[in-house]
Amino acid sequence: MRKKNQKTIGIYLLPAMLMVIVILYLPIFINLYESFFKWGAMSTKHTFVGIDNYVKMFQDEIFYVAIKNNLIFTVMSVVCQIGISLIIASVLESKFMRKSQNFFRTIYFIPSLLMVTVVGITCKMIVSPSIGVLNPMLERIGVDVSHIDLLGTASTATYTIAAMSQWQYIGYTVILFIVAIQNIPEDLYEAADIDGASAVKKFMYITLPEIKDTILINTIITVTGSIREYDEVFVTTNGGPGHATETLATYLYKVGFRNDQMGYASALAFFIFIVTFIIGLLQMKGYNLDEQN
Amino acid sequence: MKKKILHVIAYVLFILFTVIIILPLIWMAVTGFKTNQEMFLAPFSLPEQWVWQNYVDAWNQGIGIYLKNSVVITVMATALSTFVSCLAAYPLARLNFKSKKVWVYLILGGLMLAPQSSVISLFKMVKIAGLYDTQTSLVLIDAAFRIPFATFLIMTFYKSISYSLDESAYIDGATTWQIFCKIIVPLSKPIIASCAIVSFRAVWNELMFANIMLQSTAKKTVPVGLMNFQGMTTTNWTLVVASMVIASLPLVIAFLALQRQFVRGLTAGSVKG
Amino acid sequence: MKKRILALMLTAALTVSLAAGCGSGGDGGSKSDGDDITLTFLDKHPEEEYKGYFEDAIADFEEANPGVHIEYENISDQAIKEKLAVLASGGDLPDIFFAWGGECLNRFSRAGRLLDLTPYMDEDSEWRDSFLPSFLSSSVLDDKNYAVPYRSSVLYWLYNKKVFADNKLEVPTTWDEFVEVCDTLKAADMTPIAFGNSDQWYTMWYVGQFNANYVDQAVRMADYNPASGEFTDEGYLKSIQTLLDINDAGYFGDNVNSKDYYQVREEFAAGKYGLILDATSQFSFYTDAMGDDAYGYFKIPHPSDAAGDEVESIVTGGSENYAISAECENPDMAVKFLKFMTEKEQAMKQTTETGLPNAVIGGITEDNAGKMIADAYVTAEDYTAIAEWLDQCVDGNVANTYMASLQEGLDGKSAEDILKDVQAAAKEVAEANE
Repeated sequence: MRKKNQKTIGIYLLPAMLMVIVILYLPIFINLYESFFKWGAMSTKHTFVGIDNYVKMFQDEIFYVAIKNNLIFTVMSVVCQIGISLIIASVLESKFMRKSQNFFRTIYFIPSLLMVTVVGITCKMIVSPSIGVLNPMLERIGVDVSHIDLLGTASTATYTIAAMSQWQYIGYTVILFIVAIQNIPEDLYEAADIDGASAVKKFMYITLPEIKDTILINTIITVTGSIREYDEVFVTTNGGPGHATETLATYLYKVGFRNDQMGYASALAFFIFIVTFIIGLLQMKGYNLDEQN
Repeated sequence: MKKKILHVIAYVLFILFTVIIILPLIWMAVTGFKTNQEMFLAPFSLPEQWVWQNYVDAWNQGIGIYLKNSVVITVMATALSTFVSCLAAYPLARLNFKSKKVWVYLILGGLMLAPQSSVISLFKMVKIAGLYDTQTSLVLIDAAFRIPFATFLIMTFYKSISYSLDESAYIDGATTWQIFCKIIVPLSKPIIASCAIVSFRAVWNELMFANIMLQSTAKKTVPVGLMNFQGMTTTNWTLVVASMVIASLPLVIAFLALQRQFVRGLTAGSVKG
Repeated sequence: MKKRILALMLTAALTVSLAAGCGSGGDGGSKSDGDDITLTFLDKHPEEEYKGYFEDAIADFEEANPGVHIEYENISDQAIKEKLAVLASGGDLPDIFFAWGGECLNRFSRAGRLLDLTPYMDEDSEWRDSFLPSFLSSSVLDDKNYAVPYRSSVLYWLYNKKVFADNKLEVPTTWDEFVEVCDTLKAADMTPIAFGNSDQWYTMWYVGQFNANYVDQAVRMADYNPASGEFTDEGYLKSIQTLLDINDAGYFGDNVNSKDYYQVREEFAAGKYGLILDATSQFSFYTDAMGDDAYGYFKIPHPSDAAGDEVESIVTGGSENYAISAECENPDMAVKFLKFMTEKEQAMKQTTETGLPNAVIGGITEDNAGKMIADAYVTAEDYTAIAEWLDQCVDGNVANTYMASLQEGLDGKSAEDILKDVQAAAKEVAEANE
């Protein structure tokens, strides 16, 4: 690369990096500092407590419940929004589907445009055992529904919310995958057709390797999104019953704004950041930065 | 023959999935025509009387102003984040330099930040900067939170563009900027468009920062405005549903209009297959 | 291309303003510009049926006081909690703002963030004496007044008259009669009590009331104070157990944790339940949905073994208040505004126009509030003490623990375990407030 490029590179990077550093990172490091204090928004006291907030975090039962729930969200989201989405996208891109692709992908995408609040209200109504439609439907196919209360029971509530989230976002990653698949040169498939490759083979040996980067990005987005999970829980159960559906983000929010333990909330926030950052770094191993043909 | 059967199965599954997606959507739209009473007493039957009142009320109670504010903020934040991301992704994807890894990780790290954790610190910063209760603050924050995603997505796409194109342009004496404007960006239109719609949707629905950073009623966005319909004990839920349907319509229409820009239909240039 | 220029300008704006802003520091809420005074006012009545009244009242005040401007911001009660927390932490409270009573206000008062209104009330004792004393007292800390109530509410049992008539039931006056009513309804295959707890706060109305019945006033006050909360009195346990017993007896029906308040009150109005616990501020909903003749109210009977020193004389209720920030630069004008808003004539207008019951003596009449509310306020004169809403009179941490654990309690957790959670939270809060 030529020398003068150093300056050019700076110009390209500057606006984005400036915004990211000032608006995204600065608050996180302010948080790190604040997490060593005991303080609240309302009080003027600001007591240095060292790593007490972190010690407290690892002794906090709800913290582990939240981590478990984040994992449930992560696994379900990766399976649906990466695995199933990818299959949907590649089937939609198959020749026999092309004519109806526009219809399907549009319908599938629409839920992701809705506000989470309205999706939450709808979900609550559908699964409500007293006035919903899901239980009567299950009953008709012979399931004993007397103890099924999907959102009101601790053991099923998290899965229900996660399922609702899949309903909303599956179409979103489908579109991202379709865009990526369309970017694969058509002649690769033509050559495979001449060799008589099956659809599955083409998917395994052409589609997957060619859109590897998109898969990686979507995975990172889905995983980090699951770890930041907030909205869906907030509008359906707000962490209940008890703390059964609490996620790190809802818990952090409650601790900070409802309990006014801002120092502890800062510690939780910094923890979320560190964990997601490490997961992100691990995932990046598969991403070739200097790929150049 | 076997292939035919598989195709039929695929169609059946897709249609089934379509039904699962569509039914709740229909419920939302229909519920907007009900009274609060009907919603709770007979949530899944058709309204006895189709009342337009909720939609009319939703509109009259200021959704109009909120929509205007939301459009301004969303368009600006989307344009800003998409533009700076297009710029930043370029050297990260197509140029070689030493500190590249650092910048990529910085962007990547940005993806992980939970906005709930930054809100207090950001509020203090916004106050210090004298930007409290300005749309600028909201645009900047919303845009900044979209940059990591947009940059990442665009960067991946840039990398898939053949390098021989810039090589030959270099030989013809083009500058980096010219290559960027004349080759890279035009070729990346689909990804830029999909990036824009994804950011648009995120900013459009953003609630927390909009609630905290703005004070004047005249500047409120749709999600904050809609919060006003939900009191602890006074909520008219069908009005809430109706107003959310109205609030989502601009997005759905924008998506329907724009999608051909970034997802190839059976349009020209793509009929190779 | 236009977009790009715009975007570049915005980025530049960020950089410049951040750089420039660092020197300027934050400015306070109120500004005096010559003779003109600007007051900021944060309120929580954005609903269509309320906001007109408040805007008109502000306009009237501005007209009567030339040169005074009130910057009115009105956000929903869901959003105002975070908003106040963030504003407080940024050191920049609005000049005048809404707050619930009890600990919601006390945490501001204790931190010295509120203007002490005592001198103003000493000077104008008529103002102090115009409020219903039990509602004014919710904003008192260490004998000082920190806010004034503009809206009041107390809890009652409501019953569906038709359901009662169909089952030949009498209005219960004691706990045993109350249980009998529930049993009769249950035997008639009807869920007796409308109750839905998916939002968690509904249990607090019950437990708050029972705590007031079971626990002595002085003990309760010490426990509700964040600096000294212990919750070791056995009354707290009995109180929780009373709620769990109602649930176990099946009076609430099934799936209580997935129903919510909105659903069950619609169902109550439609005659699916016999009873619902609700506040006078919500009576207008039932009047609209059922008509004044279709429902009645009665005083909440106390559990028969309850023996707190206020057991007969206390009811759960509360006020909503306006407070003035300690940093307000024009406290006199802000006080003048509060006086204007709580003046009897204005307060009665508030009730007439919005249905929000005011908190001044003689302010609730059949004319402005309707027959049911007016009657309920007359009945309320039997009470000499008000127990603040439990979720608002204790520290947020304690309240949230209470709510989350009670929700688990409705699903099987024992009263002892619930109380243990509450005690642990109270201990943590007490340590933080030493």
